[in-house]
Amino acid sequence: MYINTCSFVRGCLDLVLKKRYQFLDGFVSGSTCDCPRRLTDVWQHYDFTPFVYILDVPRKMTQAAHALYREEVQGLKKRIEESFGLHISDEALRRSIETYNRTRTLLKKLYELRKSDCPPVTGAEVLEVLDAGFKMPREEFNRVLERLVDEAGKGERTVPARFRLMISGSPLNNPEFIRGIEELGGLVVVDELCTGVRHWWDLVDESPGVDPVEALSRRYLNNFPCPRMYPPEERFDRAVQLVREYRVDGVISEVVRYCVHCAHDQPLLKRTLEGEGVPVLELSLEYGASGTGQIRTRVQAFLEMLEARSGR
Amino acid sequence: MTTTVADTAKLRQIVEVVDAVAKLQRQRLEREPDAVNYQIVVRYFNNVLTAKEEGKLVVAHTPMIAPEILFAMDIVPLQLEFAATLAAQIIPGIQECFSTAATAGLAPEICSAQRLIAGQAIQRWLPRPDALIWSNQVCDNTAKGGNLLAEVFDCPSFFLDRPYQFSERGVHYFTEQLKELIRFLENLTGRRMDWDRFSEVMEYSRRLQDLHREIRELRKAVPCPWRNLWFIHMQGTEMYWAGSPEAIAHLEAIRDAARQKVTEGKGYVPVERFRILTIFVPPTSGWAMMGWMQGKHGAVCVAEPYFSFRDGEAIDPAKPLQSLARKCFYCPICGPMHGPASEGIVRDTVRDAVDYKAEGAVCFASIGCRQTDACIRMLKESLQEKAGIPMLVLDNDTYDPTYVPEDQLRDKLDEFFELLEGRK
Repeated sequence: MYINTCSFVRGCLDLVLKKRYQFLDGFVSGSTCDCPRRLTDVWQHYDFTPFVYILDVPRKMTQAAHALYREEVQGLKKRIEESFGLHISDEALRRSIETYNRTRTLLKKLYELRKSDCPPVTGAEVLEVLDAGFKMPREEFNRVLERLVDEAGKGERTVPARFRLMISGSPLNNPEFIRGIEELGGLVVVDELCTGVRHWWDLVDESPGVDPVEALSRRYLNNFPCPRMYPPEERFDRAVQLVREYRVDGVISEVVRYCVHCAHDQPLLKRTLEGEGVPVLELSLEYGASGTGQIRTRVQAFLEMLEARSGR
Repeated sequence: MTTTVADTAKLRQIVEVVDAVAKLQRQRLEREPDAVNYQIVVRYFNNVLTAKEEGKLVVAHTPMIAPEILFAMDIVPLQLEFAATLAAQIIPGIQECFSTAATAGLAPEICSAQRLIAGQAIQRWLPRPDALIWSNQVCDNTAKGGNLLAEVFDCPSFFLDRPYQFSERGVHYFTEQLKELIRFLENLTGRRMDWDRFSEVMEYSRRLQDLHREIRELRKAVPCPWRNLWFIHMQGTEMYWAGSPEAIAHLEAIRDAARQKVTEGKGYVPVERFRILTIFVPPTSGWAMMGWMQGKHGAVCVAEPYFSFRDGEAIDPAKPLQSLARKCFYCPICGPMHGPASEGIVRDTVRDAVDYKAEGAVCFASIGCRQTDACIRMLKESLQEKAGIPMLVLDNDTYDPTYVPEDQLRDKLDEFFELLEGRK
């Protein structure tokens, strides 16, 4: 990959080259943006795993787009079955959907608690939880998450929020980045991230009689929109909805360098949010970066501006 | 329906300069293809300038929106990247456009083509179109750049979504997308698509594709009958004039000139010393470098894998819509850039290296082009292993000449040709 490949994707390749993915039998990617598409090419070219598959993901959320995406998901299922000698039954898919929906429901409960004046968890802690969800077996993660939601809901712990912040933008997995912001006096009460609400927010339809592949493809195409989707207003509207529901004072918009989708959306999203009376701090950073001195200075200035605005 | 043209002064300036260049080229017999190229450039922009008085609509579009549909509907196309390229070469003030784009919030990592187009649009360098069409062909920048442009131009807009890889279901989806685009244009113009006219346009497109392949065959000759700059002219014509008699005239002029050289057993330069593959495009401020390579080093660009109608089907004018949809999956740039590399650009580059007896490759690695650059290592290694030739990577920015001075690019090319000389 080249310097203009986003650092998230270069980070993925780095792990492959360091042989951290030796346990993998295959790699599946969506045609989401230039960098993962080319990562798939590199993966295939250098034969990192025997199975490599990329499925087309339309950029629109129309009926025609859904029909295409459904066939793509069906195609992926078929290829997995053929390549690994498996049969993926509808029953197994339904069980899996149920498990993952359980995660989404629990996360929704956790996020609901963050709407209170003094939430029980910090933004950094929530990101740690989300990170765990990417790594742990899902059933085990659900059990731990259930305990966390129960405990958090008892109201025994509260985190005072001087300013309620939303963090928005590219993939973010480093809790230290958010911790750095929160140490300065802001509390991240909600996110609008690839690795946050945009990943888990909407449920898959579990209604009896609904074909599971149909349900999955509908959900993944119509989910909380990624910046790659058209029209961008779908994403902006949902971001504004979050800002209102979580009573956000300011938004920190982080764009991983060369995350072109986010970069293009950035000025339009900023204007939309500022139209709602919510100031936006824009940060351009590398994936995995924590709060460097420069970022801390800018966040500090942003919080001071919020303070001046609020007259606190 | 409106045909408001806000500001045509800069466009007129472009037309004047290009027209003067066309006249100069006309005086040199061996430059006939160049003269035709510049003439049709002039005609292209004159069409935009006269659209209003002729009661025609101007529709702006990003690269790789097939202009055939617009020609079939008697709409005047304005390909924004092409216009931006010429404007940047002719009219001073490119850095101001970048500054304007930055002020509008576009980050420096966004490809300079998109920042330039946005800057020019905000500064009203180009006339305000009656509508805007853009697409994810060929990258994320083209997919996203239209949102801001639609706002700046404040006109009706349409986003065309092309699946990433070729499949029958993908072709079906894209055909439906084209139908939607036609409905959008029908609403805009108040006229229905003339399907017979569309078939005629696609017949021109078919002939253009045949000419392209014929020219590619002629370029296999040793010595090669090719003037390096022709590839830039030719890919421009194929992008903005496809489906027109003008495009046919241009490619026929190139074909005839190349065929004459081949018949005579001559190359374009008296002594051909190096046969080079060109990967991606040279910076717009450095097009003269292509001639310099040929003049100083006898280096002839024999093929450009990103800009080739290689495989793919023949266009069937009787099925204009389906043919156009399919063409968008394999035509130059669209196919190799917006599609998997293993069955696209990597495979084609190695094949071209062998078929055209290339001795080296020059890759113009524009900092804004994430798709091209991510393939560099695969291309370099594949060319070395499978064709036994080295590849030079020239970091640059396609539109921003301040990124790397042209002198540095020429120095690196000098060194590369020394290396190639040493390998002989």
